[in-house]
Amino acid sequence: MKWLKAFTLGMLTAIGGFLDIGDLVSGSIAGARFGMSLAWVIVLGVVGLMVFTEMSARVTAVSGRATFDLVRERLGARAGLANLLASYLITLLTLSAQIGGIALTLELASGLHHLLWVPVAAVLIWIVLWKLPFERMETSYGLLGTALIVFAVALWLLGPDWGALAADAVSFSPPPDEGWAAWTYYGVALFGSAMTPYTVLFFSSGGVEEKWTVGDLATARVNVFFGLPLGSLLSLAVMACAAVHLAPADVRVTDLSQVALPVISALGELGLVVVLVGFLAATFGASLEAALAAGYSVSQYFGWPWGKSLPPRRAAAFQTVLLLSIVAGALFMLTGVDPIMVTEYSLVLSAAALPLTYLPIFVVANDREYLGERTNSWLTNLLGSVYLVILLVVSVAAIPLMLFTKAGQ
Amino acid sequence: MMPDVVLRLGFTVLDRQIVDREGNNTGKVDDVEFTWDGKRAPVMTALLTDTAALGPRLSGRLGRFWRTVMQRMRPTSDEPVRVPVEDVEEFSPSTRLRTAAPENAVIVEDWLREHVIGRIPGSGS
Repeated sequence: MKWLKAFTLGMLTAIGGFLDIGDLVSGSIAGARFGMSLAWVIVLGVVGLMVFTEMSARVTAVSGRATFDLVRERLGARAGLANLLASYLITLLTLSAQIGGIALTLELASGLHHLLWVPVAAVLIWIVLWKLPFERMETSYGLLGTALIVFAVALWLLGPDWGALAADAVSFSPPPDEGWAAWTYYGVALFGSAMTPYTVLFFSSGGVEEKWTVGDLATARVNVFFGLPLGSLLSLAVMACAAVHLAPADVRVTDLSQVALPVISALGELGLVVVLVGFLAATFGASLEAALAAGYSVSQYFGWPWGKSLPPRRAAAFQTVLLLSIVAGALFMLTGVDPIMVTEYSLVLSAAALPLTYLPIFVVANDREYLGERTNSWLTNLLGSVYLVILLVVSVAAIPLMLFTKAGQ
Repeated sequence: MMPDVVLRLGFTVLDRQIVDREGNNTGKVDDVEFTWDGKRAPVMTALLTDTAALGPRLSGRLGRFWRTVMQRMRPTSDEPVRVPVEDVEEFSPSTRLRTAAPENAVIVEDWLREHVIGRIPGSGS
């Protein structure tokens, strides 16, 4: 029974914790503009995420060390530092976007302007990180995040033409009124949102915090191989809702309220309440993860003591990085930048930096010194190599596409 | 003494995590110290840790920038922390010491504990 409980809990957490502001915004924008024609990118992204998250879980469970703890050992001081700087800045941008998402959600709930909510969000994030034990933190936002299943319910109630949606999904080309460049650009953004680097950074360090051993590997694998695909179904539901409800009305998604629109029209006021709970859990949870990922990566590069499970006094430098990152993210949002735009940029820049996160994982997962007999199988290596090529192409294409399409216009 | 095996410094010593006797993280191996008496081959006598030791290892503009920042931020001493090679229990997978962490091994950590984090209520003991 205890096993079953851990299993269900882990699974629900994986589903509820899957979505963040990036998935919500990019899924909805893409659905409203391109229908389901970019759905395949979400599938492609999630399979990649599964392959590399499993490697990362294995490294952590066997060696007891976070994957990024090993980056400097493998890349050396200089390349490691360059990697750290790039990853840190992108994680910071992601954190800012999530803080913006919390503020927008609270604006929808209260009617007060979102800039007023930014400092509140920052303080709440910090208090939770300072006070709440790791596991309780992870399960609470994960469970609340399952409220986003409401997108799947809404889709059902909207009664779409399923055949048409499916046909759209395998068309692999933009709708007639849209160009290839913008379509590809949003494809890159969606890919970036499915494979967001901070998730893996957080996941493997979180495994160390929870003291995983080889015995925990089975549970971790179940969460990876079932939780992540189920979570990505929610991503697809967000996209489909936009495709069914927003695309015919030619709505261009520029605000979080439009993301929620299909749910509200299918389920009314109740739908609004549930969707707001879901948004809040998703963005708040992602803020915690992104802030921790920032702290983990810096501390692991310098070899400082780190972890949420240590009393803050014993990980003072780590705690300072957390604090400064949250402050920096909040200050950035307080300049009045549009949170939706920050989200989009964070996704495309993440896409450009994907190899920085995933190549080291791949290298370490093949290292016998850390993994002994549990290095990658040939199948994992084949899949991993294919994905590394895809990541490289996406990474090279991301910034030129952004400039060429003027960020998707 | 270490057994008689080939030890590839770049691979098994540099940039490894240093863990003290109690299992606490106390920095990375940022550089190594060699002693040479002018006759026999040079011998590795100590590991250097602390971010100040990292500067000279980063070449180019990044390295110069790092050194300048570190000189500004560390008014007390610019000598990196030394860990005598005799104190090392094993080098790999992480560098385990048989002693407690050397004083000032992670100077940032101590300063921040004293001046920032330790002053916030609920920082533990």
